[in-house]
Amino acid sequence: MQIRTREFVPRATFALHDPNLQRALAKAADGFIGKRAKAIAEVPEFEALREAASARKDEILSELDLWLERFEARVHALGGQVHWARDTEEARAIVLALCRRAGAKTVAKGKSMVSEEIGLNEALAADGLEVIETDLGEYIVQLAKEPPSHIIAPAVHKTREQIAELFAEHHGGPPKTTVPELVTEARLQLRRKFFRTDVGITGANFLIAETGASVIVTNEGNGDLTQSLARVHIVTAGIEKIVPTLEDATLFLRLLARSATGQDSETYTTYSMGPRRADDPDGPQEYHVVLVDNGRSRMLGGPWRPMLRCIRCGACMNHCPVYGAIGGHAYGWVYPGPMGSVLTPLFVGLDTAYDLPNACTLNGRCGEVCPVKIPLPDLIREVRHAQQRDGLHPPAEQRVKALWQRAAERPALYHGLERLAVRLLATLGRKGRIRRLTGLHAWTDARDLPAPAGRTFLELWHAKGRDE
Amino acid sequence: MNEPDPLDPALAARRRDTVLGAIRRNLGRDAAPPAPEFPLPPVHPRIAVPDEDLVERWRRRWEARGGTSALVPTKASAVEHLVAWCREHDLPPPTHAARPLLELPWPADWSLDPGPAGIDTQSAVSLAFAGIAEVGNLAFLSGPESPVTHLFVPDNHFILLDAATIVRHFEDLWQRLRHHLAPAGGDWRERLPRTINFVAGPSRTGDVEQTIQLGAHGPRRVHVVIFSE
Repeated sequence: MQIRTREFVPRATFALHDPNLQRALAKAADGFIGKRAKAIAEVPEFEALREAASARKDEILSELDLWLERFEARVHALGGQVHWARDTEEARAIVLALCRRAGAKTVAKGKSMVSEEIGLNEALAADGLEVIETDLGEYIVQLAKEPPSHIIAPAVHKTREQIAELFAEHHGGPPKTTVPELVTEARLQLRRKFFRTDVGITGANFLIAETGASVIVTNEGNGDLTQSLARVHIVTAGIEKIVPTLEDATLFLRLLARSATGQDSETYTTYSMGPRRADDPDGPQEYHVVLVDNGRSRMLGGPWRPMLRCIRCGACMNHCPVYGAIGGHAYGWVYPGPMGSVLTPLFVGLDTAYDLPNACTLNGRCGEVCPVKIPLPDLIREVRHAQQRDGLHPPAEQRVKALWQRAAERPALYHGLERLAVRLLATLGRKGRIRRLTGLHAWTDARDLPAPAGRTFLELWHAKGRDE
Repeated sequence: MNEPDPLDPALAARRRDTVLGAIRRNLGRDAAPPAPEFPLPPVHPRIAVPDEDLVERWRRRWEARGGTSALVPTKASAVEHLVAWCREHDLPPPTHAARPLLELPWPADWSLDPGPAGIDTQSAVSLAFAGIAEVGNLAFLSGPESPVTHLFVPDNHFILLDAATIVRHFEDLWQRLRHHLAPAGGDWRERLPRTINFVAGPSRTGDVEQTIQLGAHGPRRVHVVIFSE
């Protein structure tokens, strides 16, 4: 997927002025936050589950090599194959070679964020393959030639009217007006494609070492149909998806659906373990798991390791005021919102994704809702530190900071400037509010600044001391 | 064109060693830690399921998600119920069924195929491996007696569930599964089916304006008949 993180500011500005997007985002935020809160209120054990999941993930990550080797051995024993990819290029080459070897013409895909990360669709299409996204949201953004804007609700930025127009354009016929009509139309279109697909590609929510299973959760049944009907099942997964046992998968699944969509569990959870058995009446003849590193092993070594706990539920972005205002596309790559503000700079470069962590308000809600207790605000600050160390902050910002530092080191000067500033600002206030600040109107356009009282804290403090 | 074949075994082995090497380097050690056999399953927090009656809880959770269910006294009486259900709801009779169900006294004009479902398959009958009361869903093990396509292809899905197979928690199911796969000991992992599928009701999507709509790609209607013998 094309990296457009450098366009963050213009894209965010555009998003703020797009009425359709603002309408879609407002609706989505209410839905996600409310549903999650309701689901969690029913589970008094939720906090204990978060604690256990966070600790368990850390244990697993500290033995990641061991569990990956175990997983590989189990997959081989079941007649499947494991492929290791160091980077996106290798991952693409492996999947492409598997498709070629199978003589594939059509590839159906279940939802996979890793496949977005490695730019799989573009690579397959460039090789002449027909690629069909089967998750309804992914299908919609594929028709619109757009990337997903949310990791679990890819078309969350689209209104019903926009989807209706898109379907009319691609499927023909008069535009549909209701949600049931739209869903039925997609079902019928995709049904035919499922049945003539050669290769089915799914992601994995988890990989289980003791059984060699890849686990997917879906509500639509699309990833499940994809792998049931194709001749070849290919799983693309990050190396951090591994868990040792079935009981571990259960621990994380108890958190995943509740955090993502506010459900007890998704409608379908499918554990896939190898190709069709000798006496099976259906299922794929080949089973491949492509394990993608792409920088994850490096993250194990530094302060970023907790980020590898992420189970891709989307709760952090659903609760993020910045994501809620600008949507996912502004972030310019695969992973938006708070988790993306940490992951994207690590994947594509601290420089290239400079703006993402710096757009954060550090309000802390993402860290509070994360089901595996990733300290997201701390990690976002850590990315900013790393950017500072690399000298990536813009020159103007560095100059302002240097000036401030010089003043702050001279208390008399500092307090003098402060006295001047509060008096100046006090004259700008009307009824205790400053409505507009010349030069900073981008800030005051959205909110009022409380006008200062006209004297500094120190002045007031000293005055109070004299009174007593 | 002399590009190396990405599937070449020597190349694949090198990639594997590089990734594992990078993981170990970043974990600060040289080789994999000594590999203990799989320890006993870890014990994690569970979600309290205080209900006395698991069947009742299971039905409550199942029906909260758009599925329907009914209780019948015996497995054979499920047939009578399904005939009446199809008539009452104006549904076509099933054309596919799990092999172990073929022995039931189906009406003479119902012809049931135990093979995989095809693009025109409207309706199928399956037998669940278990129900899980915790969330109110069903588990299936794929195999010759339970084609996986029956779960996802038809518009209407009927499922027979033995009340005695409803377990409280997922952990109970995993224990049962391990025993079921290797009842006389031996390695249960050698006998795993291709898939373990959990189904929690009709297929659904919220991808158009967060509005929940049933029947996205899988069955639109899922009706469970619970029997006890």
